[in-house]
Amino acid sequence: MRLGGAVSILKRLAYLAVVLWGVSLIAFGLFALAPGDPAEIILRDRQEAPSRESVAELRRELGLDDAVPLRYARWLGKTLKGDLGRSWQTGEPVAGELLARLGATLELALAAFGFVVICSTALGVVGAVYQGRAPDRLARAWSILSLSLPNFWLGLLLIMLLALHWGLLPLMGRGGLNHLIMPVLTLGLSIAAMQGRVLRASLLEVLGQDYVRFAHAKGLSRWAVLKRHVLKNALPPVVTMWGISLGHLLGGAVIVESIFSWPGLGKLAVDAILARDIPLVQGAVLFMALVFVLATQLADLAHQWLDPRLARGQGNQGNGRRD
Amino acid sequence: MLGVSQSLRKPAGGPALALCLCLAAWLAWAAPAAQAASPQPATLVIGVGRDLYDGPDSSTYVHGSLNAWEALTYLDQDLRAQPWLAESWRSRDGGRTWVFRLRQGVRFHNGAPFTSREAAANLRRLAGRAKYDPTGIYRNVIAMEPRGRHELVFRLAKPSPAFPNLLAYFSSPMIHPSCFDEEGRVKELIATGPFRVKKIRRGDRIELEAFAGHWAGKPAYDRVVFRFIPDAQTRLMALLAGEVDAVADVGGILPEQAAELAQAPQVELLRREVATTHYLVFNCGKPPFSERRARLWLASILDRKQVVAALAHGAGVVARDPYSPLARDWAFGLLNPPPGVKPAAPARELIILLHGGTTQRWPYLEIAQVLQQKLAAEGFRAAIEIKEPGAYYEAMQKGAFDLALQPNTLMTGDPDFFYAYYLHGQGPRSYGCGGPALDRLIEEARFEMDFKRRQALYRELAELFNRELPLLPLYHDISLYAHRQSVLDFQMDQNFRPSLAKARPRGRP
Repeated sequence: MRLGGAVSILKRLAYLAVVLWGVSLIAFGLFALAPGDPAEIILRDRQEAPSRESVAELRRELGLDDAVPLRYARWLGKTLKGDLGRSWQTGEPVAGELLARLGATLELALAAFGFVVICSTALGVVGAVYQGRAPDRLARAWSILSLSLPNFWLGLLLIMLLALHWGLLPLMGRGGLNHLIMPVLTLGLSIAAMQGRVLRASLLEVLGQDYVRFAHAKGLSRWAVLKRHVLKNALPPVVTMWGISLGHLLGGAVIVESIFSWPGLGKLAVDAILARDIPLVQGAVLFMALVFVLATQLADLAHQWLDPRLARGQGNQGNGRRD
Repeated sequence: MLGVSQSLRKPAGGPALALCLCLAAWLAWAAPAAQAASPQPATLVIGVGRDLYDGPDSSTYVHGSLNAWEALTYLDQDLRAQPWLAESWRSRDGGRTWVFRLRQGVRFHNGAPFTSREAAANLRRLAGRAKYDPTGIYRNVIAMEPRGRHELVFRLAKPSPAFPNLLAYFSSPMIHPSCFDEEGRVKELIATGPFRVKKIRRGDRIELEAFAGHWAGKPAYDRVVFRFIPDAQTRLMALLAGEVDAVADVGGILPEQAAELAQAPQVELLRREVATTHYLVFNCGKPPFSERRARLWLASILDRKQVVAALAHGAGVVARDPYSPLARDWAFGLLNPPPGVKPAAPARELIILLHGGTTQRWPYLEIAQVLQQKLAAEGFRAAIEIKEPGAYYEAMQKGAFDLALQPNTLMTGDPDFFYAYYLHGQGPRSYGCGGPALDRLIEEARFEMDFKRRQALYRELAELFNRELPLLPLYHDISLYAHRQSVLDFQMDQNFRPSLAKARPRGRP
């Protein structure tokens, strides 16, 4: 078992390394193919009218005249030594730039994730338990509404009502817990609505199983049946989705960050892409890929914990009892 | 299944109800904290749409709007060089030598005196580095020598009549030499401005505190905070809600937001003509706009007054000069293109090229759509292409466009900045509208030291520009900014720089 566990960990690490290498290669290649001269874009950002000589000089300084494979090899060599280089825009170390925004991104992503988990569970359970009745219809209407609202519109509406007109919440920026409410609602509502519907479908499937009727027949309380038998067996598909959404949330939320002036990674990455700040883009892409892979791996582990047959390699076959 | 669902009805309602109660409690708990977060009376909070932290690889570390650093000269509202850290200047050797006399009694934020030695060290840092001198101003400088404690001598390869203008603002920032390394990279900012940088929270805010040792005296505000608010609607609501005291930067207030702000009694909306002009650029390298008559014809079918009134919401002045008329010495008001001749419509679609970043700040898309309709009415097919910066610059470079919209700011206040950029054969944005005769005229004006003669040369260039119309100046920009009534004497100048040293809170002398 121990050897098996070590092999499994090694496999996962190798998978992670291959994914990160592949992502970095694709990102670098795409940037090399993209139109425009990074040197010109950087200088124009500082001064509207750079001279041709200055653009040529900066190209040389940044090594942009070298062949793309050489530039990639140079970047990879430094990265393997733990040096992500410096941002071409500011000259700040890329690692420092990412770390400076990491706290804000973690705070928002984890809060939104918590909201998604609680809200989607509540919506899913209410929808399944009251199937076809008023609470279910209400939950469905709420889900459709949440999914239909564009983020930017919902964010501005919340700001206008909760901050500007009623003065209940701070309008923007990062601060205490109260600063989190509107960004979390904007970010989490649509995800929670979608995942609530998935959980509802999964719960309905499990509620129809013989072992649930048997559990009731044994005399277990309704709450105990729901908690011990129904929810645990209905959760695996939703856990996978939660894992994916956690990866997305940690990767940054550009629109929400812009509307609420939240100093996170999403806006940093988009600005770096538009400015052709290749070292910063590569750093951000690597970080996001790492987070995404780790989040999905975490979801896999949770999945295995909920359904131990997966760890034993038996898979999730049929609709039999899984607890 | 139905029976089981129904039997589970009661307990499942509990978590949902608990969740609602938790959210309500959170909101109720958070409300007083939000109200308590208003700024202190002697703190000025300014909302801006971009991060004003420029970083170690920039010439200035932070943007000039922060009032943290100062330069040798500054351009006034007529775009003439005015004393700043340099008190006076004079030229010799037919404009090949310039002697600058530095202001006495100036100290850095660490208390060290500012002398010609520090000034020379700063200028050496900028010279010869593309990152710090993008326009190549210092390429003409052969030597910079400090003379005594307060004089600085520049020796130039060629005469430069506008040299004090060229050194203005971003071209000669003064930072304590201990702050930059051998490569010129800035580690921290110790400068001479009325405010010093206290804290930088990347992508969020920059906090400043008043510098009591400033040569012009301590500012009235003890603290200034620049908040980075990228979304224009959020900026507006932050101002109305009182979370910021002012919004003052390029594109800080959009013209379409003016009506709403004008009705807010607690806010004062102000307008400032800035040195930016918006242009319709012709591709002179290929038909139909390689023909002068075609360019003049297009200028005649586009009503620039309507563009300013309807599309720019009045935030502009119809252009009567090739560049900003704020440059009073060089503005002749001669732009009045003669009628042209409609060219034959090409078989292909014309391309109207736009830079994606500009369409959020100015009504370029609307102007392009009007152009498209006007051209369609005349039998020309035209497509609008909006590109991100890299693709836009490449398309411009390759000439893959017929018409393009772009802004240009007369940064130096000198016409050579405009003519050399757009019309000179070696200019970075020359699209084939010039020629050897025009190049000679531009160079002659660039080096002419006699003011009257130089003015006559630029008048000649302006006449030529009007006849040839290599690009159509649409309008000169008026920038909007606003502050709450609790702030007094707050102004933003033609360089988008707020007057932090003069601003004061209401009730304070």
